[in-house]
Amino acid sequence: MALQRPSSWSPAIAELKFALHLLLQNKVVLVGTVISVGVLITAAIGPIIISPEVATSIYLPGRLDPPSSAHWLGTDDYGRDLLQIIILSTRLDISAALIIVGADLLIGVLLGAFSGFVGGKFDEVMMRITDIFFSIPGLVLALAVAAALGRGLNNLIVAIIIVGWPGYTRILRGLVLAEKERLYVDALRSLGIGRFRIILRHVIPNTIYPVLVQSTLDLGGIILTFAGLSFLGFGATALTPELGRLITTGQSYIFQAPWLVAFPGLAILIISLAFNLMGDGIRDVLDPRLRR
Amino acid sequence: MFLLVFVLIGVTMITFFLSQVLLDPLALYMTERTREDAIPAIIAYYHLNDPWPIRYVTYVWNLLQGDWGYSRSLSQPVLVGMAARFPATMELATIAIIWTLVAGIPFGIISALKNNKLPDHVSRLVALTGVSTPVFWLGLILQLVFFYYFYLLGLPHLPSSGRYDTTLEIKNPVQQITGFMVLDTLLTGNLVMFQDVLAHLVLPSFALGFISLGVIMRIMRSSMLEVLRQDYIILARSKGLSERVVIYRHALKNAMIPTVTIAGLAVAGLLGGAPLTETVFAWPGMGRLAVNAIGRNDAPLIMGFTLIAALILVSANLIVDILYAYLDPRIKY
Repeated sequence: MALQRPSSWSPAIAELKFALHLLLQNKVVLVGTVISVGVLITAAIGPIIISPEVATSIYLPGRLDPPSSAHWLGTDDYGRDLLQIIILSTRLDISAALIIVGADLLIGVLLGAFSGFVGGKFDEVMMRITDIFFSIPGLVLALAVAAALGRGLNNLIVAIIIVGWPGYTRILRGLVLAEKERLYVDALRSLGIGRFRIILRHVIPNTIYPVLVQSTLDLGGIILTFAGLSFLGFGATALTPELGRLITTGQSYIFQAPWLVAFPGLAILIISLAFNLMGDGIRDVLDPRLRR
Repeated sequence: MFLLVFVLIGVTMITFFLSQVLLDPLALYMTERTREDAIPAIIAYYHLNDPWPIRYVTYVWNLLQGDWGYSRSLSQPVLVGMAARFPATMELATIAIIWTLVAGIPFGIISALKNNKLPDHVSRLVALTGVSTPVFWLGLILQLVFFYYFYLLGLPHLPSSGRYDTTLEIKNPVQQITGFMVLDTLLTGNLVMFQDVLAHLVLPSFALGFISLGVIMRIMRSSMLEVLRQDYIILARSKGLSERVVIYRHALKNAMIPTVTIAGLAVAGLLGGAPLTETVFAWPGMGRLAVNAIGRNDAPLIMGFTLIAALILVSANLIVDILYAYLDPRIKY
């Protein structure tokens, strides 16, 4: 038998290739991923293909037109093309969700890693703090924080960030607790490498995957929370294209012009579902227990 | 118990910080009719000019005394307003959790048994759609279809908002006993209103429970799969026990443990969904009250709702812990 040249890919890349292979096998996940990427692209190029100034300008003679060949999804109460408004809205919703998840990951991962690694009093205090956050329903806490901070898009984003980090802290802390007992950590310590460096350069990279998976799963939920609080009147002002806000406006015309509620909501559902499908699949692929 | 007290201290710290540090602390205790010259007295009484540890202790002490502040939008003390709307929220949440458990557990079991076959794919899609659906939108669409379109088509349609038909109530007055209208109408034998109340519950409880349905289904499925791989299940099968006995007598009880935990967490989802669902369905509960309070800058009411939500969630988790010990005798506290 001919000697096979050992794979020149590093184990991490080989693992990634295997994961990708498994991901592509699952059709549902593939669909989710394709839609997610599509949504991200739409959000990114929205203002390029549609002129925001023209699309959001008010044209009252054409208000509340039902879906037609000229306006595929109809027009809203200001006579704006609903499809264009929805496309422009996704940008705000998606970027808000990405900012929120990114900030939560940063806070959650750092606190969780230090909490697990350092242990002792610090760990105890951190865990009790997360207990407190878990004892208030997320949306209710976000609502309270947003109410205290006052209305506005930035305040709403801050409020949702404040609510989200403890989940990641908990997951990562648990993983780090197991990871810090590994031999390589002792080896690094005996080399005299500092605690911060071990955590940041070695422990976090080795434990972060489950947290990243969780964060893709959370994206969908965060879009829902954001749109929900926006629906209740936080965040964007009435004329800003934002999906939750569109539904608030549409609510007044629900029986007269149901498309104003139906389509923006459908957009939220599709975006959130796509992220959830993708995250669910990634989790299945990365969880060795389910990899059969 | 210790944890409960501890968590509540933490929660009050958060609401204290939000309402007394970020917002005007005086607002908690003032009404629109408070006279200017009474303000110094209020400041002195509530220690508002003292260092914050003293203010916090006063704040918690007042909470314990039932003084949760004064709601400007209700023109009522917060606790009184909340108490009046508590049963409506609880009734809706209870019905929602009951139907999600009744539907979610069997579907979860089926999709575990038919792992990676059609029923499993369907349940996965339902579950993911559930967690991806904006509850407020679902509520509006349900109203549109089951109230408006059914009405247009001349079909029997479901009521779209409120807890009961007010004109019907005039002829068949409901005696308030528990505040839970389903129970009250049953206890007094008021069957006309009982039907009406149930009809009003259908759409909001469906919308509210739909999110949790998927979660419960998926957890039930994965814990069932986990349990079915255990040695004692293999033993049970090799003893020649029928599949029915293996699943319902041996596997189910252990597979229920994670589901019970999640059901406790689902209470959090229900409470979070309450402000949205209640707003859409004009349901006279605490969530809608809190939402209305936002528009009127009525912080005491919002903080009151936050505290009550935390109290309910913590108690739900306590119940879950007790159930846990019952389901799994290995767990001792």
